[in-house]
Amino acid sequence: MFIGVAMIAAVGMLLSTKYNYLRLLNSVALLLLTVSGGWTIRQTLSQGSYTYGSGLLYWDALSALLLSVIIMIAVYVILFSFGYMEAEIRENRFPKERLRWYYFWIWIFIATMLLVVSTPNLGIIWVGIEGTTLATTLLVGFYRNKQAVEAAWKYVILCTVGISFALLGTMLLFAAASPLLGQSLSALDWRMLPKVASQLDPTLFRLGALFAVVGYGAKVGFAPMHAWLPDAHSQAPSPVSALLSAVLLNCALYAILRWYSLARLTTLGPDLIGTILMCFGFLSLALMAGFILMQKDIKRLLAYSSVEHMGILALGFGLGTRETIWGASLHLVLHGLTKANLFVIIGNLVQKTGTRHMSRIHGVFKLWPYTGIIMILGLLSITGTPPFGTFRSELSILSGLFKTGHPILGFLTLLFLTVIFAGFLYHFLQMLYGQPNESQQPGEGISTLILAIPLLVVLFLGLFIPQSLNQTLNQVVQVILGGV
Amino acid sequence: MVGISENMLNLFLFVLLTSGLIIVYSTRVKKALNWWTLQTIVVSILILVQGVYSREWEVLVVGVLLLIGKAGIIPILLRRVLRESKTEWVGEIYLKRTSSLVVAGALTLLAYDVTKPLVTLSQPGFRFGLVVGLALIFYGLLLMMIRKVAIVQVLGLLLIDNGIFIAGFFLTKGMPLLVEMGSMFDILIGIVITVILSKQMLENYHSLNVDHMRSLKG
Repeated sequence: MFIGVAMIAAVGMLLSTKYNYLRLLNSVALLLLTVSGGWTIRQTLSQGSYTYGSGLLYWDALSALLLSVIIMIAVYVILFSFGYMEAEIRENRFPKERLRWYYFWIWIFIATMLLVVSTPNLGIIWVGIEGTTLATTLLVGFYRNKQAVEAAWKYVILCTVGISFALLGTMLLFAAASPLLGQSLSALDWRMLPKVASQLDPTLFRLGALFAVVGYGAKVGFAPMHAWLPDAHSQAPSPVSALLSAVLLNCALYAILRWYSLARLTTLGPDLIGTILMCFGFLSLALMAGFILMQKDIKRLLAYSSVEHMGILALGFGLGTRETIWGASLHLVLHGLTKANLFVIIGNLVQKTGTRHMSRIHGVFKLWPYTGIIMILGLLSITGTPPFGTFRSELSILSGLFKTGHPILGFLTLLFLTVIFAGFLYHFLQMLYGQPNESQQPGEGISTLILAIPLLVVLFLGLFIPQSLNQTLNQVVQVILGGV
Repeated sequence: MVGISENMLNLFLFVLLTSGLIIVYSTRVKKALNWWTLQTIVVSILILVQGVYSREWEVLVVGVLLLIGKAGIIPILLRRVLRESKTEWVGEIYLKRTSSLVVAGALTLLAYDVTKPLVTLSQPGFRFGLVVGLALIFYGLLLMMIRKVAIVQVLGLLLIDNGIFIAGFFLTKGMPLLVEMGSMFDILIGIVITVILSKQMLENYHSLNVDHMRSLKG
């Protein structure tokens, strides 16, 4: 139903370019999305699972978690888009005529992500994930200048090749499952697959799972397949970067998690996929520590940090104990909120200063104190500093590493996290203090502080985790550990 | 596979593999595109024949969609871009046409070797289908690495897609209709989007050479 809302909204965006029309239509669509999505999440969590439309759509705790992240961040980002994109038009970054296409693709993008988390079918998930790539390609290349076209081209080619492998993997799974479940959709349905998991042909399934994890892994941006990610995330308009980093990466990871939880039940066991995830995770962390330290462009810095956090998630999920999966699920939400907030506030900053070079931005505190405050909050949250929620989630993954007998891995992870903290601190302090450039217009309204809402939520969740959220996370752990 | 005789199947597979090799060997983009179109038509005929023999309407629908969507619309779109950009040559980098053919031959042997563990699973005739599918995937990857014209990279992608389709067809007689239709729709939209992007590339760089695009680093 909310997929329908998003699709209709997308088409509706094309009808007019008037600012007021677009604002109104977007607000109505967001309201409907929140209401119908919220209702679905409520139903899912109270009953454990929820089916709609004769089984074609199905949610459990894990899909509900992703669904809530998508909705929260979509609302935040689109509301921010109103002012931001209109300001971009005033600065002649793109013609006004093109604004409706921006909203059209954004809503198609949201619809495809909603499809990914609403289907119980590994084949349809593939269709949805490839759909997200296509929906975002023109958003990445939205400014149509040389860099934007280059980033969009790299993005669509590399991700499509990666995803093709996931399709091959899905076919191998179908070949293994169709003798048991018949030549129909149910042979790719993760409600049915666990029942026959132990009888799946091991050779076919192992090959299929490997292809799927590596293929979707390219879309998550695990190192060493991350080459497209910093380009795409830095060239897209900032609200789109926020959606890409905070939600889309999670959606691709979600596809891997479905395969992972299925693999745990087969004769393959959790070890192979878990180890691959941990390798990806560790490699991402290690490489990104270097990139973050050396970075000059602020949006690329945030993009590399997204790869790093996907690495942390992969470590947590790959380790596969109750504690680490709990921590990783929490971290997935918190990273989404933090990264969306950072991209939004940095997008504002880049618009005001007109540059993405961190060495050319100085004295933010003097010029725009409220932006400065939010940047400090974002800095503390993204690096996992207490009392932010990210500290809690990273801590449970780290302690899991030590408890399961990976002290060296745990130590190195801590070391890389420290290096990343130092890198972020250095870059951000350089921008916050110092003598501002005289051409800058100082002053901003206190209403800027509204933008900090996601970070305040992350802060709140660091101090106190409500019982209902804890229960949901435990349900998610159960879904990943035990199939359905 | 009910109905199709062993000889016919071998003929189909021969055409599919050879057209893949010719695409790698071509130096003119248009020629490579024509061979890809022929290959896709052969794939859809294979599927239609199978559908007629087994009397499964789902298989027939997939075959017709393949013929109209992929073999029909995609070449028209790509040909238009080629005409507008006046692109003729494939832009060889790293490997010239002869050496690329040698590498493609080696990749075929690799595909044969990789599918060995799966041989016990499928009937002997299918084995070769699987090998051809995998070989085409490898050719596609090769093409994307050794050619610098954007449209040839798209052709590589399309070759990979054909390979996956063939491999899937011989492994499982095709996926559920909904998934097949979804993936075909994705490919079609994907081509439309790459065509739009190549037009923007032309506006910015005045050529489809992806070598020019090296500004994003670090």
